[in-house]
Amino acid sequence: MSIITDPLSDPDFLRGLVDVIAVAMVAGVVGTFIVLRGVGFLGDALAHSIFPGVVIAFLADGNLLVGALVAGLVTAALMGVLTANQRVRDNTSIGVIFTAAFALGVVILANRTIEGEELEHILFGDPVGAGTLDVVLTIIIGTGVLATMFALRRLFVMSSFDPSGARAMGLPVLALDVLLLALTALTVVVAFKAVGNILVIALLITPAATARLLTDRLLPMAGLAAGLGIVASVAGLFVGYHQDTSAGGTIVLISTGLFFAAWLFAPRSGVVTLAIARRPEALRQLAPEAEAEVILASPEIQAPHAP
Amino acid sequence: MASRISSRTRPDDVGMHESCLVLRDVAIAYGRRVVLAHVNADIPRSQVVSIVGPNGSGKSTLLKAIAGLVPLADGEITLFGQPLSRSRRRVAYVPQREDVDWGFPVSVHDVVMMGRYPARGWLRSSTRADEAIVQDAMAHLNITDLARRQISELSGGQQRRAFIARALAQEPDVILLDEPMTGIDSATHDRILELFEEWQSHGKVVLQATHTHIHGGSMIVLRRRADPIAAEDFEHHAAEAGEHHEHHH
Repeated sequence: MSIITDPLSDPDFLRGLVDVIAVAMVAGVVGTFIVLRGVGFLGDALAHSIFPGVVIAFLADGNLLVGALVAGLVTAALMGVLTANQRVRDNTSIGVIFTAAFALGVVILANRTIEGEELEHILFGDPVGAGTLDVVLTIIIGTGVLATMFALRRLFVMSSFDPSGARAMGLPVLALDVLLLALTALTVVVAFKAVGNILVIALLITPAATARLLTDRLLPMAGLAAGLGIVASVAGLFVGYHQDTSAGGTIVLISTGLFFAAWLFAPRSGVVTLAIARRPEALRQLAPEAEAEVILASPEIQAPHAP
Repeated sequence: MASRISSRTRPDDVGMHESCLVLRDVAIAYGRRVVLAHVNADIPRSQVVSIVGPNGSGKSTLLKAIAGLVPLADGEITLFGQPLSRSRRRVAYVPQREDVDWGFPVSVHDVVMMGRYPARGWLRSSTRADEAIVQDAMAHLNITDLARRQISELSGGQQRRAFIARALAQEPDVILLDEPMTGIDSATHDRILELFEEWQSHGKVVLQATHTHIHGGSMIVLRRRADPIAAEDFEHHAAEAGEHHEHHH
């Protein structure tokens, strides 16, 4: 029992635990839409774009989350301006802008000295190092993101599933795309403290991708993604605590493990599950949905109803 | 056959002979390319209008412009004297296959219920009345038994039926369909034609962009100016269709 209870008596660990649970919930729900729309690279790009904000905040001795928040919102606003003329899914322009932001962070960093451990925390996360302000901000922002997603869920579904039909119904599809981008930016911001700038994308994408393998309904998928993210995050935090490994890295690896388990053994789509279900002996016991009748027209065969 | 649906249509609130959908000097441009210009049409109620023409003549573009998906470079489109942008709720649009993400996890019931959102409000839950309309629309297209199935599991014909049921659930005055007969089975094809007649008899306007040959009915014939042979071909079709129409009267 002490494996569980010992860390819980540590207030740093407890704050980290609350932080990763909140982050995993939000990332699972937002990630569901990112995965379904196939714009995972967008989340990755957004994660890069908050890097300069984090670096500036770090060098100025400010709160990293606040720095990330400012950078994330500036980038989302910039995207909003750019997409007024161009399509959001224009991969090329997104690639240019977000890598430029990351490069900016690298250049700012170049002439400063940062302790190896500090840099490691920025890049790979430090959930146990989350302060009370970090946790409070995470919960406030996360609640806002989830509430927005829930309130506007029908609009997001309609504009993702059938954008033309949505526009014909008068929905502002472009504005909804930009809003989803902003919500993703906020998610990346709150998630970065837990798993770091580089690994943020894994928390956003991997649990949702795993959930997609397990269900083909939207709400269960969002719930499952949140649940899988929480399981991986809590487990990763405990393993990190006891083994003294990077908690962020461990969270991502556990999450990836769950993904491959689902990929192999998901009830309806798992590679192994299907291989077993599709054995000829097993298939022969099932009634087919359709049957074939072959009718050949040829001079040698007299049509039965010929006059 | 359509008792519940027809009881909700309101053919009396506007005179049957009044112009319903009016296109005045409509022009559409992509960047600096003018696709169509000077399109004028005055379509009364109870019409099934086919937009025909060779590939690249702008059939789909014109339909999209009426649906509000493509901005007008010039002219205006009105519905019952109101700018169309203010009467979106009275227009249902059935997009082309390629415009839909068929892998998105929604059920047939979800898709048809989407037709109720504009009237009900996007932030509000569906009511019993909405549910009744959705059930009615699904029964009408013979897809009630598919209600819980994912849209991705359906055949092309069944998917088209789901989208037309969604259009039905919108209770529109104008129904726009982009290539509705492409890639479907003959049973669905026949059902859609029956539904066109039904909509027509209920005073609605049906506009379809189509490349299939049309016998009879109203048409907007588009010609590519660079392609006179194709244009003559479609004039021929139009004349033929006109004759066909007269034979029946």
